[in-house]
Amino acid sequence: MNQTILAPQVLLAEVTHRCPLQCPYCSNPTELIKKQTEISTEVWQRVFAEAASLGVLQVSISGGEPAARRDLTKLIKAARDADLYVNLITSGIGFTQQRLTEIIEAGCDHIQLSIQDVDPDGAELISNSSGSLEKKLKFARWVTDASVPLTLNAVMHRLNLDRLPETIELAITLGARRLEIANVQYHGWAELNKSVLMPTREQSDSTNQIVDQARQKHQGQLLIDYVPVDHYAEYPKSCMNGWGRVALIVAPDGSVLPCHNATNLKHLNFTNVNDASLENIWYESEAFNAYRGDSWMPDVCKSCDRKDIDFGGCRCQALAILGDPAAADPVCSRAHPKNLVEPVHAAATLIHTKEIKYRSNA
Amino acid sequence: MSSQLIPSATILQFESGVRLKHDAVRNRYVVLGPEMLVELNETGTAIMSKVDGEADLQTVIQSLAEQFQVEPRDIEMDVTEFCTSMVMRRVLMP
Repeated sequence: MNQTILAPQVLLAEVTHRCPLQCPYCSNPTELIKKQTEISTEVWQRVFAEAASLGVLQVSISGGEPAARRDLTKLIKAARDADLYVNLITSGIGFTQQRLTEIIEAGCDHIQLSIQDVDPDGAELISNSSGSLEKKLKFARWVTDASVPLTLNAVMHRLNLDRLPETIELAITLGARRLEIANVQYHGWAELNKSVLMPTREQSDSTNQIVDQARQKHQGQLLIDYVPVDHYAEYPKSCMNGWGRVALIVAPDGSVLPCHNATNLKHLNFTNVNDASLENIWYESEAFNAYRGDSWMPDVCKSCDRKDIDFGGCRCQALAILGDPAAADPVCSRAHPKNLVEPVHAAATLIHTKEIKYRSNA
Repeated sequence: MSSQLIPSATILQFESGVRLKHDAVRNRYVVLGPEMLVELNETGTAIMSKVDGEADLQTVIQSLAEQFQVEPRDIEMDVTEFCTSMVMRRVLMP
């Protein structure tokens, strides 16, 4: 497709894969990047400056747990000095109130805090870390006390979806401005734990209703972003808002990726920020151009009126389920009239939490 | 909170962690907030440029009317609706 390539607006800076928690749905790839290969403060400073001149407006500093980097305050300052809007995506673990004050003074604009469950035992089961919920609640209060906007990010799955109403109430109680109700995306670690985490069809249906009602009830107070279970959807998710269309990711070792899990696509080579400019990588690299536009699409997608809505869906999912990264997203009911993704029903299986495969340490 | 229009005496100010920015690469103004980007057209830019934490909605309407040489009542509804939508999205504080 000869369509003009638009400048990116969002940079996801995965500054480390190290994390004190071991959530079995971690969005990091299963092959984690070690501390020794993480890029330095100076390289990140250059990355933020290059991103801003390329057209990036927002950076999300993420991980792993970004607080695992001792230079986090410097990284935040560098991003803000580049005139980027700085979102920090954190577990809240590893912060003292003093350190939080430092990063706010350095220019952190917004904090997104993950919570595993509103039930302390559920939170411990998922994070494989004791007392994590209590620490997070304390952290949330420090954030709102400092008048920094707080987003609560609640990752939902079969073991905690029944507590969604309490999760929404917690966001209100904590004074969060945003709530992300994000169903697990079944790639990487989550794919390994699908049998435990995949919600039932019934849970998924009632979630849609609860979210609609909460949006009505808390309109103008709590903004709710909702990521449904895409396996139960009729059409694919608009993965990354399109490959190489809006966002780019810089991994802890400096590899530049079009999505978190792109390293699963073994046939692609991802250029490192040490070897080329972000501009060159965004516009010219083979990896970023691989699934841009519609020339890579199968005919069923190319001729589809939804191709400008979902941009062909998720490439990792096509590879995982169909063995072909250029196939139509397996979720799509138009491309695959026979259901490729089997729903789980309430009475079908017992949940064996002992089968949870926790994320390892980076 | 219902989606009724904000009163004309509402002081217009940005929520914490929300700001107006000139996007030099695309030659436009945008509002940046928590994982949020609001693209502004010319009218939106004119309105948001007058948000200073002191002027109320009525004053902003008056000032826009002078700037564009129109009658305040001709733009009152549009500006009020726009500002209300910004309050609902937590860009502006009510």
